[in-house]
Amino acid sequence: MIRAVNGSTWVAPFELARCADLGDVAPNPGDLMDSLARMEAFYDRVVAAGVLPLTGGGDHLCSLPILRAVAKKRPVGLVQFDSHTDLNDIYFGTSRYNHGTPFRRAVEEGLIDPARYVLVGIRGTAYGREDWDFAAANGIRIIPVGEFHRRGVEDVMAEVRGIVGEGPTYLTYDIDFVDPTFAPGTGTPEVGGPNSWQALEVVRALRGVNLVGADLVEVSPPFDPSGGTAWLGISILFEILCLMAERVGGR
Amino acid sequence: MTDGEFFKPVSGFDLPRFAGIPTFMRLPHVGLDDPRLAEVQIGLIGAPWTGARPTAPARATGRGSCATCPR
Repeated sequence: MIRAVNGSTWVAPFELARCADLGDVAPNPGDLMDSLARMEAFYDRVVAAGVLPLTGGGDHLCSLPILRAVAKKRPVGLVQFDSHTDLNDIYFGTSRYNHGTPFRRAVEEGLIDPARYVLVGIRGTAYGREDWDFAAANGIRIIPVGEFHRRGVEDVMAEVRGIVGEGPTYLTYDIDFVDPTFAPGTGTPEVGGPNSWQALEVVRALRGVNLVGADLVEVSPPFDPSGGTAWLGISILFEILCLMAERVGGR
Repeated sequence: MTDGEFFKPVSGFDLPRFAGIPTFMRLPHVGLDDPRLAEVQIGLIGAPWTGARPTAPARATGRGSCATCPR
């Protein structure tokens, strides 16, 4: 039930920017590496056309080929709302490309400026400390959910805006950032997360950030037959769209 | 130049929300081969790819979740 005007910020995105549904990017379900190549090629065309991409995933590996396209000419800053770092190295001894590794690869490939990279909402049981150690070694800022709850949205997001600054920045939003009470329809839920209001407020707090693209990933409708998670997902996408439209429209 | 109204979503005042072809935000569909792509400033894209999840079987998402649910 998305309407044309944001009832909280009164931004009217479709008055500020020409928006369209570009359709689906086609993966190759039988070939992971070819899927990465196909997605990158699709987004290369989108970027070449001067279009800012706003994507509904898909799992979190989708962000990697998108970043390869939007960060082709220079590294970008990254804001990541998530309950997991997705900075792991290898799964099952050989899997370097899966939904727990995309930003490890993106940092290694020079797509992200680690000094302008911040993760918010991290929590849950862990495989170990390897991902956190990687973040620390590269100067990447992790704001775990306990700190988020203690400090509140306003204070945390002021820090986030300071980290990414004025430069080109990508926003990636994993729906499992939100507490599973509000977003059970995802593959790896973690308790103790933000509520649905905070889920929207963190996006609104990014007003003015120089977004070059964004995605919302890991919504999995079969895990939530009520449809509530998808409804929250599209509501978050609308908030992100408002930010991007303000950038395009020059506010 | 395409009429600016083309890039507006279909209002629920003009077409009931349970009707019409589902798209993100009820926006027009402009494929990558459509000449109007050059005029688009923000493009919504479905990425229905869950082939990289070690923790759960692949499941279709993308617009299947976001475009066709409450609109």
